[in-house]
Amino acid sequence: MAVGNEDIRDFLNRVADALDREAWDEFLSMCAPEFEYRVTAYSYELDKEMVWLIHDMDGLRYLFDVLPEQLGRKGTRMLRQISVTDISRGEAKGHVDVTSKVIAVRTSPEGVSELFAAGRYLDVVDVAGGTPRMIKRETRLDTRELGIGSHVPI
Amino acid sequence: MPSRNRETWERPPDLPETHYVDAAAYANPDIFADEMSRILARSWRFGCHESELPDAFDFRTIDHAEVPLVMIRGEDGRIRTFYNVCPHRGAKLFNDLSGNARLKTCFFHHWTFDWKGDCVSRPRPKAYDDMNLRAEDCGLREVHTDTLYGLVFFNLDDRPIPFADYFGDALASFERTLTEEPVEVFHYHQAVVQANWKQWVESNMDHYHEWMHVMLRRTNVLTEETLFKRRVELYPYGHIMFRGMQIDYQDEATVVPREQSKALPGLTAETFHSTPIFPNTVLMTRGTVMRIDTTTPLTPDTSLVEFRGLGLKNDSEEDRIVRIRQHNEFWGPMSHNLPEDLFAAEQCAKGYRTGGAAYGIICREENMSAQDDGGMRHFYAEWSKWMGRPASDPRTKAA
Ligand code: FES
Ligand SMILES: [Fe+2]
Repeated sequence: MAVGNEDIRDFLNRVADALDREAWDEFLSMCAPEFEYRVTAYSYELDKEMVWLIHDMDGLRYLFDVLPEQLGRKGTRMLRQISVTDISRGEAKGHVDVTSKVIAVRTSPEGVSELFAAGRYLDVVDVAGGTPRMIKRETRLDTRELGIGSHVPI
Repeated sequence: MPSRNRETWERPPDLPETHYVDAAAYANPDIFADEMSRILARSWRFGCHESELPDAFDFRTIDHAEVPLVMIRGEDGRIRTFYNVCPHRGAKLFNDLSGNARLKTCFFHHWTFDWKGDCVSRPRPKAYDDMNLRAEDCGLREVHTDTLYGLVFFNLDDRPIPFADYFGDALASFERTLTEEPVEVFHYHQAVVQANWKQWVESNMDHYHEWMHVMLRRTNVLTEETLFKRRVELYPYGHIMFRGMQIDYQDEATVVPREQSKALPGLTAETFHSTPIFPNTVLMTRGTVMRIDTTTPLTPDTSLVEFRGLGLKNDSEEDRIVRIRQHNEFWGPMSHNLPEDLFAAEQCAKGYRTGGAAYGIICREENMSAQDDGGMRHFYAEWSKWMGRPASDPRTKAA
């Protein structure tokens, strides 16, 4: 069955939801084995592009494996609100390039929510097999002041 | 061991006064105001790395010192620092974070300045001439600036401690790394931390906290050998050098491997060096990458920390990405270690800010090996000198 734009939107919402629920295995199951994840930002201080995180599937698995031991407060949550702004044919056959705006809100264990980051997802999604899979995600941050930072991918 | 009541909690520890810090040093607003005038306004402070101003007329603003500053590379190649303030009616002169400007015209009434800070034009100057306000009296306010191994420092004091005396040999171990090949800053981010500035500076002087980091628990940092081979060296003016730590990055399959050929000059891929420079800057190397932290006090319990990552300017694109990954895994805003260190600083601040904590204990003596608190004692001895009162009893009226 052909994958339509509505299916792609639905898929990316489910990806965001899996991350929000910290369902890491579910998230990984939505990624192709060659998945690459990056966080990038532009520095106006340096007048340069920056890369703040790069992981392949092994890197992400390790990150999720270490996560329970990373220091932090139990009950801290992140919620990603996305809205897809563009879906177009990708470079490779069966791939689509999808741009979404993303707002990540962090909520403390006390229930105080604050804007953590704003930016865009630049995704490549494989739609050839009928079930969409993530090939690549670049989280392009407008926000560069992340307070104490985060161990969890945005 | 018995728990304590108010009296025994607040009683000074039975230690030499050099071996503990009173809570007021972190939280008291009067002491904070004195720190700003006695320490921050008089010490040499890191501004940027010269690679951030590669060409003549390049500028870089520094927005979070007590006054807005701008660093400019002149036509003569020298970097100068000025108050980033128009002498006419106080507008901020450079409003972009970086850029290039042969002359700078203030957006407001178009007074114009050159790279030496001279006022070179004022529209319709006759009305000023009539009042005898000469252009020579309308220059920018310059701040002392000097450079060591490409690190650019400024000093807000008109009669600062001589630059060479202030640093002495404290940075000598970084000379080859910073000068043998051109280096450049590839990473910059800043964080407003809900902690006193010293709580962040301490996180780089306190190597006793290493167990806190999951990645250090999982690697070889804490073997007997690495613990006791590492040394804390003390330099005049409160500077410190941690030396002798070798990190085995092969320990974990998922840690980005570090090739010897990619080590920065003067280092092996395993070398960890760390040098806290009094009062608020730390240089660190992890073999293939270097980090510089600068902490600027904003209020007694908020601080702005700037983080820079440095590599070789002539890196191939491929090598740069490897270096970036090596930087990011421990030091990036989404790394394993940095958010843990920032978390720790904020949680300590909570203890002191509320009046809950009474003293910080810095009394470990272990022959100046890695987890000896000698580095922190050295910092607080210097702090006490500049403040004219001991950190163990900082409410004492300053000398
Ligand atoms: S305030 Fe700058 S020219 Fe008037
Ligand atoms: Fe640490």
